Order: sequence, then C-alpha cells, then structure tokens
Amino acid sequence: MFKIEVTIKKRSRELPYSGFIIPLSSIIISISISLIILGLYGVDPGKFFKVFTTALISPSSIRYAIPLILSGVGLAVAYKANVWNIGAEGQILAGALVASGLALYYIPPTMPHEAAILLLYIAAFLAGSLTALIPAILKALYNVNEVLSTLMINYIMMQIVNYLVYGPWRGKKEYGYPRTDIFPNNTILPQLEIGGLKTTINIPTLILMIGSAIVIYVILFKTKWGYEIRVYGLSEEAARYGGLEIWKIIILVMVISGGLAGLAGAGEVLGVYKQLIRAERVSAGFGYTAIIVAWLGNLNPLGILLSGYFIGVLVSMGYTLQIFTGVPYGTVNIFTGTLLLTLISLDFLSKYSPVIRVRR
Amino acid sequence: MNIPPTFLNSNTVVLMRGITKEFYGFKALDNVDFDIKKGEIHVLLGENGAGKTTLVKILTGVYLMDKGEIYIDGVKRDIRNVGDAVKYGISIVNQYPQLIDELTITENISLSLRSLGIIHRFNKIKEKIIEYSDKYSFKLDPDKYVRDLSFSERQRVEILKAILLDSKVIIMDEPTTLLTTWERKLIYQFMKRAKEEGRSIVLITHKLSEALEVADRITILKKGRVVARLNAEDATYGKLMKLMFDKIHAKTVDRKRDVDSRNEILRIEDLVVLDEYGRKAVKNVNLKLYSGEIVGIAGIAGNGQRELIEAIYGVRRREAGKIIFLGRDISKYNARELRKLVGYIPDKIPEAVILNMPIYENLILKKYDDSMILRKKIFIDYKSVYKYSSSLISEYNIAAEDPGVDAGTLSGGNLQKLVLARELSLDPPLIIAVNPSKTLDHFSTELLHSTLIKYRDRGKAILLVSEDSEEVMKVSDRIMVMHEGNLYELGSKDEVDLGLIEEYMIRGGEVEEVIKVG
Ligand SMILES: Nc1ncnc2c1ncn2[C@@H]1O[C@H](COP(=O)(O)OP(=O)(O)OP(=O)(O)O)[C@@H](O)[C@H]1O
Ligand SMILES: [Mg+2]
Repeated sequence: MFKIEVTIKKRSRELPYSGFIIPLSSIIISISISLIILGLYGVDPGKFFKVFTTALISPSSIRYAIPLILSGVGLAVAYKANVWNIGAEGQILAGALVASGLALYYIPPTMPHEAAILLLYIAAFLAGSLTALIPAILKALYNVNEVLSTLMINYIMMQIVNYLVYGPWRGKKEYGYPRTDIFPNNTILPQLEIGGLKTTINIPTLILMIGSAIVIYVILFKTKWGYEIRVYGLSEEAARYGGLEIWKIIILVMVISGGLAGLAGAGEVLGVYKQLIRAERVSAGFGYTAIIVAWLGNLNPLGILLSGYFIGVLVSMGYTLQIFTGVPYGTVNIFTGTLLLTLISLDFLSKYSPVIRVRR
Repeated sequence: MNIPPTFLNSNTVVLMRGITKEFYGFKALDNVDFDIKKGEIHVLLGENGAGKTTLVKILTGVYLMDKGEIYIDGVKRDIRNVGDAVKYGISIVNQYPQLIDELTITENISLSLRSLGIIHRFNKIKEKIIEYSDKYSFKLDPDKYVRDLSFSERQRVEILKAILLDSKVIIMDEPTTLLTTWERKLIYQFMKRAKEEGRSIVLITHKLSEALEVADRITILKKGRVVARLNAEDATYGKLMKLMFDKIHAKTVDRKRDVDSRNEILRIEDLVVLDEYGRKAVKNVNLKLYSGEIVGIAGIAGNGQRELIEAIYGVRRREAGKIIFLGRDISKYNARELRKLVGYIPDKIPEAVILNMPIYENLILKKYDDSMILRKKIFIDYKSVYKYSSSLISEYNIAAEDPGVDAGTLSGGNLQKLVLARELSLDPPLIIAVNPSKTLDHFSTELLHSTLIKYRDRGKAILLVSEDSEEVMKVSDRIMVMHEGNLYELGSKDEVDLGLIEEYMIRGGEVEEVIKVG
C-alpha cells in the first residue's frame, strides 16, 4: 500500500517576481484549459486564436475595458485596506440610474454640453459613493460584514433599475421595450471615431479611466492617505497602535471605490447605450468581473490598466465567438473563472510550498 | 569552526553539519556545525541577529536549509516540517506559547498530539499530565482553562507537550526572559531532571550568568558562524563576553537627575480597568509620574499591567477613575495626538509594527502626517524618509542591510530596537516600555538602559513595566509592583531590595501583613 502525504509549509519569503509571474502564468494556464473546453465544442484552436488576436486590437475591447478598469481601480483601493467591497455591480447601477434620471428629467436641453456632462459625472460619482457608504458606515460603526451588505445592495439596485425601466421610466417611443427613451443630445457622451467610423468607445470616460488609474496610484503609494490605507490593510493592530482613525479609512476607501464604479455606470448609459436599459444588461456582470481585474492587476492601478484591457479583450472575444462559432457567450466565463482559480492557487503556492511524499 | 570527526561519539544524538541559510543574499548561517549530546544542556549564545533562532528553526523544520546535513543518532535525516522533527524526537518550546485560550490544558495538549498524528486517549493524556506535572513540580491543573494561566504556566504547558511527544531533544529559545526568580528556578530544575532522564536541552539565552549556571557545553555564534565551542568548566564571564562581542566597552550608567524642576506628567486616580472577560484587571490604582524620573513597575505577566498600560495609551476603555496626562484628562486628546505624546514599546512587538512593510515605512507610523515629512500637505517625501531611516538604523544599531527590507525579516531583538528607535525619535514627554530588553543581548540591553536614562535626564518621564525584577531594580528611580490588579509602591531605589520586589511579585499585599505581624 502506498500512502500519499501532502503537507504545506509557509515560505519564509514569497517567490521572487511573483507579482509578475503569477498573473502571466495564470493567463497561460487558463487559455490552455479554455482551449480544451472549446475544443470539445468543436471550435478549432486556429479559429480561436484568430478571434483572440482580432479582439486584441478591436476597439470593442477598449469599450469593455473602460468600465472594468474604472471599477477595478476602485475595488483595488478597498482591497488594499482589506475592506471587501463586492458591491461594484450595484454601485455601477447606482451611477447609471442617477445619470439617466437627471439626463431624462432634470437637465434642460438648453444647458451647454460640457456643463451637462460634468454635472452628470459628479452626480454619478456621488450616487456610487452613497451606495457604498451604507455598508461602510455599518462596518465602521457596528462592525457589520461588508461582503454581505455590499452584495445585498447589488440585488436591491438591480430591482430598482428594473422597476423603473419596466414602469415609470419606460420610454414612450420604445414600443413597449423595457428601456427609457434615448437621452437628449446635450447629455450624450461623444464617441471616438476611427477612420470615419464611430466606435462604442466614449472619449470622456476613457480619459477618466486613465486619469483615475494614475491619481489612485499616486494616492495609494505617495500620499499620507494611501499610507493609512495600506497600514490598516496589512495590520489592523498596528493601525490602532498608531492611532489611525479606522472609521475614516473605511469610509474613504468605500467612497472612492463606489464613486469610480458610479462613473463607470454613467459611462455605460450616457456613452454606449444612450438610454437606461435592463439592469442585467447595463452592468452585465462587470462589477464582479472587476474583482478579477483588480487582483489580476495585483491591486496596483497601473497593473489594472493592463489586466482590465486583457479582460476587456476576453469579453469582446466572447461576443465574437458567439457570433462566428455559435459557442454561447457564457464560455468566456469559463475562461475568467479558471483565470481567477489559477490566480488564487498560484498566489497561494508562492506563499506556501507543498511537500508531497509517497510512502509505503 | 567545524567539528573534527574525533569530537563525535555514540553519545551524539544530533549532528548538524555545514548548515548554510541565506535570506536574499544575506547569509544568516554560514557553514555552521552544531552537535547535541545525550543528556546534556547545550547553551547557544550570540548577539542579536547572530542566527541562533534560525539554526533551531532549521532543526525543527520551520525553515529549510540551503546547504548542510542533519544526522540523528548517526543516520542522515531530512527534516522538512515540524512533524518530521517531532518524529525524530525534537521539539521546541515557543517563546510565545501558542495555545488556545478557550480550551483546557488537557484539551490543548491533546489537540497538538492529534494534529501531529499521534492519537492518544484523552484520559490517558490527562493522567500523564498529572504524572509529569508532579514529577517536575509544575503545579498544573489539567482541567484549568488556558486563559486563566500566567505566562509562566503557559510555558510549562508547552514543556509538558514536548515531554508527551516523547522528545529526546527539547529546544528552548529565550525561555526565562519573562520569568521571576522562582519560576526561573523551576525551569532550571526541569532542565536538570530532563537531563537525568537522558533528554538533551538546547537553551538559547542572552543571560551569561544563566549560561554559566546551567550549561554543560556552550556554542557561540557570531554573524552566522560558530566562533567557539567550549565545555562549561572552561568558560568564564569575561571569556564569553570576549567571544561574543567585538568590542567590550565599559558602560557607565549616569544617575544624575534634576529634582528641582519636576513637573507632573501623569496622574492616575482610582483607575479601574476590565479585561476581555469583564473581570477587574486594574483595581483602584493610583500613580503619579514626574518629569525626569523612571518609575519601574515589576510584576508577573497577567497581573493587570497590560490593561493599565493600554488604558493610559488610550487603546482600552476605562471603567472608572481619572488619567490626567500633562494636566488634561486623556479623553480630551484625540487618538493621534495622544499617540505622538506617548512613546510606547509594547510587550508584543508585532502589534506595533507592520511586518509586511519595509522598515522605512514602519519608522514613520507616528510621523507620516507631520508637516516635516509632507510636501504640499499630502505627499510623503519618501526620499527624505529613506535617509532619515538610514540614520536611525545606524544610530540604534539595527542589524538591517537597508531601510527597504520588510520589518518581518528582522531578528527578534532588532525588531525591538526598531520600535524603540521610532518611539524615542518622536521625543515624547512620556515613554512607556514593557519588557523592553527581553529579546536583547547584553550590549543592546546596556545600550537600551543607558538610552532610557539619558532620555530621563533630558527631563522626560519613563514608565518601565517589566517582569525582570533586576531590570526594574537597575534603572528605576521609584519602584512599584503590580499584583492581582493592585499597585504597590515600594519606595525609592535605595529603599528596596530585589528580594522584597520578588516577594511582592508573588504574594502582593500579603507581604505587608507578614511584615506587620513579624
Ligand atoms: N525570514 C527571514 N527573512 C529574512 N531575513 C531573516 C529571516 N529570519 C531571520 N533573518 C535574518 O537572519 C539573521 C539572524 O536572525 P535570527 O533570528 O536567527 O537571530 P538571533 O540570533 O535569534 O537574534 P536575537 O537574539 O535578536 O533573537 C538576522 O539578521 C535576521 O534579520
Ligand atoms: Mg532569536
């Protein structure tokens, strides 16, 4: 009889370059696994790579990267503080909802374009922040677990958006579809044109995305607020010892986190759909996918610019795969799922080493 | 220094040969030979950062060595984890006992036996605990909850665990630093008994007198190499000092103090503080502390010192009473302000540092929001922080290559120095130090004491809480003892002696009655 013994040991230090090797190797591993699964569907690898390389340079990848990166950068702020915001989905919806409501019913058509857009962004940021503020206050004051509270708010926001598009806000010119009317012109975000062709990339949100990654990077690693966030995230005891105001840190990271997701939501409705549509389609799971984006980017905003783009490629690839090969879009979830799985296991392996022995 | 083959005989139970361990290019151990004989007490000496802990961690499977061989009873063995070490009869008594508060002694011990794959019947374990507890006069009740045990009792539980694991080699890393004389004697007694039973003891210590008292053989490490291996008969205090340290500088502890310009720094009136379980840990304590003095509070751990200090530092709620600091009640300060005015070196150093952050970021934990290191009010000027950290590292003799390495890689003593450096560099009017020298070697302790005294002479107040009565005796101007939540003021340094302090540490107020009657 053989007996297999597996034990784990903490490494005295993480493996070198793990911040770089881990994301890369998990991408390779998950591509391989997905290829096998797609092979079972009868998709030949050549076609897969063609779709993949097309997606790599397709504008639609950037279009998907925008909400992913914006929310992912926000989530990274919270995760750096060890605050587990799972609510980007609901915060995106909150931003989308408030921007839509204002665009449809409050902004006069005579308001200058720039002023209207600025106002809408600010409102969307605040909406996302407020949505995140509730779980933040509950955690800061009553130590309520933020995973549960943020997750629950996602479902509430979904119900509210769907109630509005099926009910009071349903468009008069939309033939009964569950969506609002198209927004007035002065509230719609300008889209990028490449070779005279309009893309679904809207310029202002793209700029906001890059800007926020840089600003958040600077905040996290160069300012006193970032210092507080990182200290609290690494050791709550040391934060208490140093007299840091923990409740302020929790609220700050959640407000930033929610606000950026709110901006992503505004970008989607004002810059892509030009109307508010069903909740499942506005956020389309981006709030959850952004969690992967944040970790794949090693919680570093500059890394997230890359990881967000990469996942954007995957998402857009998913849609083209569906069109050209008939493989359901959901298969892309297999990819992102295995990606997260390999990411977590490799991260674990970089900190612990397994010792496997076979004995008689 | 390598062990010549003739050195070995059938009495050698463990032989470590050519052990090398690098941490990122830094050689913590460099071709070290170490042997343990049956039935001996082998003392491992060396200054802070010499590699003592690393060596025993390799033997107990906590670290993997880069190079080297380990022979156990003459057979080459692979020790890849703690379980392996236990299998070969090697156990370590942790410096901070790792026990579960909510379980009884028996439950704790059974748990670790089980997790190591050695399953016994619960009752049998209990019987054995009673048997061995008796044998070594450990006075442990197997049904007592660990949360009700003192530090020393917890340590004895760890020792029993090692015995029930049937260890023939028991390693103790600085076991006596936190004990009173009486408790220390118990440990020495145990070591001698264990020796008679044919077990071997490896003792790591910074106390040379202790080494001379109990050792059969001594191995001295310096900067990762063995510099001497000698029999106890050939060792003298002076000789050991010379072997351990490069320089022997005469230290003069200067005791002048300016009594005229004394200001009240801290006043505590009828303070009551509860512990985690809602019991009164501090009972109506009164205390006054003036500028330019060191007040020493001796006491065995768990007599309310921790709760008292945490209440002063503002991290624990008080139940009743007043704490007046610099003329204002501490509730009038905001947390950050108070932290900057009170330097605090806690007992459990890891709670005062962020182990996964570099040294330079750790050094600014209390300074990061000062205008001095901020640019435009929000940006931390990391360049000057880096420079500032380098200078603190050399000023306080912290053994670290550069300020960029994680604090978690420092040795126990150097971590302690890191906190000391940070707290003193704030120049606060009050310093609270709890067991500040327990992980320090001889010179670092001297340095610490003279640093504290110099700091006092600059008109600052220092509250020294220590389980080491000799330390309290040596540096304090006024001496107090804490026992079961009561604080007894014994008088000035010249009025008390070591024996009295220790009587109070063990018996508290009863001593007064004895004195009155007698
Ligand atoms: N996990 C680690 N990573 C990096 N360096 C380490 C690690 N553990 C120990 N070191 C380094 O190795 C050297 C030896 O450390 P060790 O803990 O063995 O010293 P020590 O002799 O036990 O000192 P002390 O008396 O202060 O406890 C130190 O310079 C320390 O910084
Ligand atoms: Mg040590």
